[in-house]
Amino acid sequence: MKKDKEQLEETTTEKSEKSNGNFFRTLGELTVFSSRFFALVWSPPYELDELFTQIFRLGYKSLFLVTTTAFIIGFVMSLQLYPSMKTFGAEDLIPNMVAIAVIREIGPVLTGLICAGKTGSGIGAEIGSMKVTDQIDAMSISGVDPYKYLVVTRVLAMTITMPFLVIYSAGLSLVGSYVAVNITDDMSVTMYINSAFDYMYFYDFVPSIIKAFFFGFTIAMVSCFYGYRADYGTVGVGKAANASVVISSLIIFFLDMLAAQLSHYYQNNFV
Amino acid sequence: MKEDIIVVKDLYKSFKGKKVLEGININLKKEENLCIIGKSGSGKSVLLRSIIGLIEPDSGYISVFGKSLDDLHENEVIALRKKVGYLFQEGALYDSMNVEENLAFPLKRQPHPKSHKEIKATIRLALQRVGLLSSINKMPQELSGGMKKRIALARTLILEPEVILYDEPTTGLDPVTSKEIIELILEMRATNGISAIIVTHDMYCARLTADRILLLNEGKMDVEGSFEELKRSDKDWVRAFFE
Repeated sequence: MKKDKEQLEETTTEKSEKSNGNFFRTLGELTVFSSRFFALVWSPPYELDELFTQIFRLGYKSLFLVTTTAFIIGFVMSLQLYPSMKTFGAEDLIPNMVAIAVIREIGPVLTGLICAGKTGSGIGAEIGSMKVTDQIDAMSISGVDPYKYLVVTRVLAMTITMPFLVIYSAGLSLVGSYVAVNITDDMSVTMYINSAFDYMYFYDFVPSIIKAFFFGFTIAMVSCFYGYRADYGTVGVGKAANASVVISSLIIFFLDMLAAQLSHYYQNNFV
Repeated sequence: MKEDIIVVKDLYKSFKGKKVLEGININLKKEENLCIIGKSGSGKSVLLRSIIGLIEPDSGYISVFGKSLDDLHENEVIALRKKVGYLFQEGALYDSMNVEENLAFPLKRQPHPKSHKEIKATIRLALQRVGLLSSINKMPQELSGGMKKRIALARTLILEPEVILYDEPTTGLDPVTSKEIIELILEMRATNGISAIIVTHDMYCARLTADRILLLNEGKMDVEGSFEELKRSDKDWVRAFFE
């Protein structure tokens, strides 16, 4: 019995060590994979056609989902805040609360998660299926660096597009909020805008934009990484798409936490 | 005596402890068609991929056009690959591009690319050569298995390689299409002097295309000869391939 228990503990420890080993190995591989981007992004040939195609695919084609989600979030937030704020006679503060929430936090994170789900899974599945059908090897054989053509363009496209999507998403949330405020109350656009941006400062906007760059980079890089590692046919493609969404979403939350801490530190010490 | 353009010595490769290649030695001479046959999973494709540098062997020496792959920088390997074409088992056409774009892709990315007009003309010529000019605007999803292989061959030829590695060129094709592919392989050598390593288990293909046949058995390669010589081999397992 004791022997069985020891064996069980040993197995559990081994499994834990193996899992830790896998985690650190994957992290190391992701770091090496990402570092190639910085080496190749500056060197010709520049795949501008592919870059613009990807900006269109990854950015423009996400607009519908971002529009719908952002509008509804702003709308619902205002509606949910109204009863509580009315109790304190502070309905006028709703635009400002929504603005701070969507610009500093909800806009970037929500847009990041939407893009991780939509474009991240798309990139993971696309590159994964190219990998398992030898298309990446075919590129390599014809004298083209597939990393430069596939990874650099997608990562660059997503990093460029993401801040615009975040700004757009925050704007749409405010529109949703304005509509909701006018359902329960009556407020002019000028008054809403004045109220929304009354207590907003430069350091409320900047971290969002910086976060958006990092989120865009992360989503595309992680998705390309898992796509590149895809193996074992269609099962591997499915796993790559799944891992792209899960891991990039987790990293988005982690980066957001880090950004919140840095922003807090900056405000306490330099503002 | 013609020069060796590909030399492989003592090549070893294993995956997760499973030995796939064990001490492989081969050499390919200029304008020679070398066939490698063996059971499925015997490591034939791994060998081809190692030769082109897509798989890194555990140990051994590979030299292509007199240059050892070990001594080459990544950029030099990429440059060397332009002289070595590779026909993938499933064609590996880029499925987000139509046939014309598939063929234009490598041409546009050469160090000194041709003009737009010249690229168009080269593509049309390559498609004419494989008899599929009418499919120029089709997407890969609209093509049959045989058409995909012929388009893939056109894409391989468009860079004017000096040697082509064929991975199962006739597998999964009907006899008529198989014959067309075999004729194209023979035509490549006759008209352009292109050497070839053909990995296959289609004995009809091996008989028609091979100057020399090597048999890969459980990661080892110890039987070599012409089709007729191997057919008369005193080893049962060798003869089994030809019966």
